Amino acid sequence: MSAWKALRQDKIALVCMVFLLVVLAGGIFAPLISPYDPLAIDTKNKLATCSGAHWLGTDHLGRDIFSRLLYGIRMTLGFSVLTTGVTISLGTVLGVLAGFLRGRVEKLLMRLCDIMISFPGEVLILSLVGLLGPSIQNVILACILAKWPWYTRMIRTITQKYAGAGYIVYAHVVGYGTPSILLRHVIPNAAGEIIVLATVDTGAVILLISALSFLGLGVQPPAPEWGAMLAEARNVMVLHPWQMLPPGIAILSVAAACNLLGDSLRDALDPRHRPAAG
Amino acid sequence: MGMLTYVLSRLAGLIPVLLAVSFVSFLLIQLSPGDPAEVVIRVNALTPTPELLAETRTQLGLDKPFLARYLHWLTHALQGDLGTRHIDGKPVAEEMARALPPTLLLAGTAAVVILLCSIPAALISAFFEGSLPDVVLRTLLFVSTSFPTFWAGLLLLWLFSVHWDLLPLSGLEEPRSLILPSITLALPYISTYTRLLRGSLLEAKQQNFVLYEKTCGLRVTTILRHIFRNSLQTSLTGLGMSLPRLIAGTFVVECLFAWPGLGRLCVSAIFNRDLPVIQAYILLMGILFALFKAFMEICAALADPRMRDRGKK
Repeated sequence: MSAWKALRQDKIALVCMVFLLVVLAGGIFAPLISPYDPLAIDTKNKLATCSGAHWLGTDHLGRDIFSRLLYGIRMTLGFSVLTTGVTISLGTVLGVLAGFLRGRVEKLLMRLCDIMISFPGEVLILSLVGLLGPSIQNVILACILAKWPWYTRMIRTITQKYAGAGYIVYAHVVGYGTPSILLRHVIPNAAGEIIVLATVDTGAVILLISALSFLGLGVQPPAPEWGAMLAEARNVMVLHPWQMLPPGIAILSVAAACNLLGDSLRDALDPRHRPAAG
Repeated sequence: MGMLTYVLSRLAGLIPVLLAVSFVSFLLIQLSPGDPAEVVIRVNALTPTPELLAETRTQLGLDKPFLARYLHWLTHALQGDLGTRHIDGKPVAEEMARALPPTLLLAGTAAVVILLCSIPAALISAFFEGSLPDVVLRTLLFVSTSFPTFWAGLLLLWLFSVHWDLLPLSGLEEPRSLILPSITLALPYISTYTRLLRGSLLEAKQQNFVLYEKTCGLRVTTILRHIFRNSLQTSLTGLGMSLPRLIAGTFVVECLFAWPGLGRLCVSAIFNRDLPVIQAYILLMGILFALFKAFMEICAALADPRMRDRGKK
């Protein structure tokens, strides 16, 4: 596979991939790695600076920041991956159906997508969270509801591009059923573009979920979500500004890694798309 | 087709869109979980007894059929009556009218900041392509796309308001309070526009007229001006298209800087379960979007007559 080869030669993409894998592993094995319980309060040791005992210090309740960051991976990155995953699955199913079956199904779906897209994503997500009530389940639900039309539209376009191809017509003639043609010939072709969109979108969803949690609309304290940690750091900002650094750097680096990896994947999958072209 | 007919037909096309927006914002509230009557009672710290529930329902008109309620709501909304806030009984429309100007001011200033930063950045980046300033700028811009807005705002707040004590901490009391929120809001967009403008500048550089002008021996500054004018239109359209997104995205910045705008009004309504305010927010944003889109299309048609026919295919 030439795309894989191109990707392996891209040092930035490799660094990002390794970084994201390490972060993911850190989240999965958080109970084994983290030196402390992320919720354990130790008021004698509050707002400690970096030390051998507490690598990144402790917060205003004496909780170990490094442990909280590790568990936060499960929240921030975990929920973002979950959101993007569900959105993509939904978008793929609906998009492939619309692109392949055409007719009334397509018209209805596309009209619905047009209406949804005419509202800006931020407004839609904020109002849905408002209607359902502030909690992380509702934030995830709102993100999925606001984002599925984009995926559905994109995947429909890709599907239509391949639907008329010779080998699809041949598969029909030979007698393959529609489901197996979709699964074996259409979806694998669209996979590359879907992966690119998913990677970049995970970065965007991380920023969104942490921003909403920062405002108190998403993950609720005392859960160690990065945005919520920043909201707590803000309260002690005047005397202990360094508290803002660990969660902020965590969000920035993971989101940047997702964006960079997405860019590299796009270049690898589509040789025409050169970074120099802007 | 004359320009006037085009504008009129475009404006007439707005009516069904606005009706759809009003219907959606009404429908969403109806679909929200929980009994609105119970919410009203609980917000006022009363215990919901069956009698009180029934009474509140009649008061809110919840016993009527769906379409009747929609028409009732719509006629009131057209007269500028969007109901009252659950928490203090103040008219929602008045609160909205008070919060709209600060939001528009913030988004407008941010748009100016975006232009002021991205035009020079794109010019440097495009004309010294591949040089050190280009690479440095592009790295900075890349980092800023992944920068969480609220963290950037917090850092700016700490640096300028707490550490150096140069700028006000929050609120909108003096013109200086505008500086930090508008920069924070503009930050993620600057990189998008610089990339967009850089791309179109690089494209314009390749065009035949540049080569022709070079062979004619025109001065470099003149050629640069022509390239710039050619590519500016694309990015101005891009900026116009995302102004509504800028307005919609203000809520994080508004909450961070305690800015008395629409976004903060809506977020505090969410915490209070104050559905009429959320409904009015959806309605207002939908209307703003529809109007803005029509306005941009008309502007584009004025600038380029070919655009008039584009919508008709």
